[in-house]
Amino acid sequence: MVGDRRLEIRGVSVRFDRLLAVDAVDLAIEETEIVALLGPSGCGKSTLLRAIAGLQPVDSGSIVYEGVDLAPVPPHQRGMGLMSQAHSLFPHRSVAENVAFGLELRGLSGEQRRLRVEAMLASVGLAGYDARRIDGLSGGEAQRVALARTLAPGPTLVMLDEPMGSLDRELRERLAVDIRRTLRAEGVSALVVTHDQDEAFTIADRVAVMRAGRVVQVGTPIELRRAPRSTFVAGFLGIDTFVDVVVSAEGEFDIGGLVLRRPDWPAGPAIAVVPPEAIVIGGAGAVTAEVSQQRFRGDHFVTDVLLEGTRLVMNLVEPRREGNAVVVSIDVDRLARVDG
Amino acid sequence: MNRIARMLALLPISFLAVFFLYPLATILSRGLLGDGADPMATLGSASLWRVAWFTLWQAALSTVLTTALAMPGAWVLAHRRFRGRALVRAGAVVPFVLPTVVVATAFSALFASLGVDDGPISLAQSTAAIVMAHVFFNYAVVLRTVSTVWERLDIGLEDEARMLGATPWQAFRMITLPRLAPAVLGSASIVFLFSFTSFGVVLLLGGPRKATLDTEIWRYATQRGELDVAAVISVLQLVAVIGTLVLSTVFQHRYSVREPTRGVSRARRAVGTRQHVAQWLCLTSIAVVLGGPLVALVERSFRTSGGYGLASYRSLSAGEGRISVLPQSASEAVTNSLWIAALAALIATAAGLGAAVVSQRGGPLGSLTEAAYLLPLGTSGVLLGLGFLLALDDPPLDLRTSWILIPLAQALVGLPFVLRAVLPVIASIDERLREAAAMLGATPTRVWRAVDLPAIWRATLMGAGFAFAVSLGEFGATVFISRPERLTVPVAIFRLLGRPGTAAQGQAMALSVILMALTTVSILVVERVRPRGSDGW
Repeated sequence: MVGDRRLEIRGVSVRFDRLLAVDAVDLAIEETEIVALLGPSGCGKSTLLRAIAGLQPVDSGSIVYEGVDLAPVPPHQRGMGLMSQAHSLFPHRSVAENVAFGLELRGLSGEQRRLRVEAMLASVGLAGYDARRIDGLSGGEAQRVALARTLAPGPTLVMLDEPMGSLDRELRERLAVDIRRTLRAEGVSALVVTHDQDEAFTIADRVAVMRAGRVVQVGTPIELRRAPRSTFVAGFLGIDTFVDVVVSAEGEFDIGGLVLRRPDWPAGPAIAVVPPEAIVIGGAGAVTAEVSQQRFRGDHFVTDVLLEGTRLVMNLVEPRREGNAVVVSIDVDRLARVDG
Repeated sequence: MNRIARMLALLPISFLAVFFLYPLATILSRGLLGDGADPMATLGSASLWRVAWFTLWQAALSTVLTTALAMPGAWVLAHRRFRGRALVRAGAVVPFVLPTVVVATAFSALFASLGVDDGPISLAQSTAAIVMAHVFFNYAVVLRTVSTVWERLDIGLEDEARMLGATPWQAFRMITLPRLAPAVLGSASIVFLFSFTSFGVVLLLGGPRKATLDTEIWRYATQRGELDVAAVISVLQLVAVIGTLVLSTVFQHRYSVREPTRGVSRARRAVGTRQHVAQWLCLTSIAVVLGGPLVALVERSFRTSGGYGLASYRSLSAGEGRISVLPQSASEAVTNSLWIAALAALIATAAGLGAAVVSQRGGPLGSLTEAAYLLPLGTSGVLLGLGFLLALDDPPLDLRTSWILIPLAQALVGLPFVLRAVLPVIASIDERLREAAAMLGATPTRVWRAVDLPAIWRATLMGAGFAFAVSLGEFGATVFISRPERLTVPVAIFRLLGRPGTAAQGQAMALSVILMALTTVSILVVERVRPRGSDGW
């Protein structure tokens, strides 16, 4: 994954009147790397994308693309692709004419254009759609056409703004996998904006979590899950169990009566982030907990258990009655520590 | 539908049959089968084809100029938020509903103010004057139609194009312009029709040597008394108008684009020097095109031999004696105009509302009514006037000496405005609302009162207001059937302008300002009752 820097963002800020929409963001994208910008709506993700594209003036900081400072370069000369949110196809052009748009501007001959359009439509799984009208496409098809159009001129970096935004849940998962495969096949770097962590984890090599205009943590999906740096990041990744603890000099602390030990944690008050996968049945030093509630998720049950009054969440394959006992222990290596 | 409803449904279509189709048919039969003059002799005359050619190219030039000049204004109204935006939008429509005689007077005033009314560079009685007046008059058609569509276009698609490598100009030309094309073509064809059938402007600004088909019809019918020749020219004019309508429909259909459904995009404030300069240049273009003639008109109307004053206005009032060239005083003319226009608006609204309700019920009668009612849109006032003159002056319908002809003709001119306001609103009422009301036990009448009426009353008032404003300034048809004892303001202005001397000119300008004020007030009232989100007129 490590290659040359394709895009480097240094201290970029964008201000709307009094609101700092993007606040001193640093971010780098390597060659052929796919990075997801993950955050709640209104956190500045799309604004950052538009700033990189040159569609939004930057108030401070610099954006360097393949070694060139982009400040004086207008959007159409930046050589990157941007795929915006839903409904971004040109309604007066057919599918093939949409995909060919960027190729026309680069002066490709009719035959060259036709070959490239065919190849692009095939690579997004829409071979034979050339003559279709835009208003007859389903949401998923429209997004594939938009992706083909973005990739057709051969940009070295593409930015996708909520590429699965308006689609059904089931369709999103499939499209996310296809988008990743297509981006890989084209060998481009990509920056993908999303508010959905599943989507981010499916598509991206690394994920940058944004909150209120700032990038609060960057890492691979596994790094983020294992070591979220704040309850915000943990919460955004779907972990909602946080326990206040006091870590002793030896690294010992207590959760629901279980004495746990992490020698690498500094002493003092802290918050332990407890993901469901940290609570396991049985194991060393297991104790009895009480099942308080279960929610069926198809292939597993999200189960709330009470451990001496402390509520923890774990995943169980089997159903349990409320009030039943379950013998559990905590896999201490799965815990993360954030400052209280 | 019970029998009474059926009878009521026949009323609007009979009105149209008697006062529109019958006169038109009379023109056609006189023109094609007339026994007084040989139609072929008229059509074979070189002078007629010179007139036809002039009519065509001045209309084409007016259309191109109007469209080109209105585009920057349409852009700024669609995309920029600024103080007074609603006022500019509403104000821009004023010239369009201004009486043609007022427009002509305003341009005479402008030329006089600029000192180009005679001498080496004289614009008086020139083609340039006619074209300029057409641009002024029709500017709002393009401005409002295009800006309404432009506002709803997703301009994000231009960004999309920029990212695919398009320059700002390429993005506009390849992405935005094709999607604006139906609106541009549609409004341009309306401008072409109005310029092609223009009468008052050509008559008053062109002088005796500039003639279009409509002024020739008038000249033959009223000055030379050769009604058959007038009817032949009318047939030619009608063929050209129908041809234009067909072509414009075909082209609009070809270029129509289904935009994805989305809300109205919000106009943004200008940011930075460049955007402010662009905004002010566009606003200035609107102000110059629309404001210049109006300012000159008002300025001239207050001018006296020794500076500024109310002399022209005072001389209009009955107290200072009648204006010698007019059969009635100016104040009587104003009263006549207001009454006649109110009556015309009432007739147009009743007929239009009836037609809209019938056409909404569907069925063969419904579609026939709707089609028949769109016809008067393309028919010029001159043709209506000639039709009334030919058809309604002998038995079975001898109304020649009756002043009722005037409001009837004006109602026909106002009718399309009522329909354009009401029809889309009726069509947009969700059928499920009517079904829900019926399922709750409402009778058909009750359903109409509970569902349709609340939805359309604003649109109806708006249509009535437009019909009133248009009737106030109607000139083309009225000048044919005008009665000395029912002098209307536009006809009075026409008479005054035909008189030499600064006193009559001053009076014409003062009377024009009064007419303009009356029209403007009715339009501002219309803007107040405009249903939210409605576009067009």
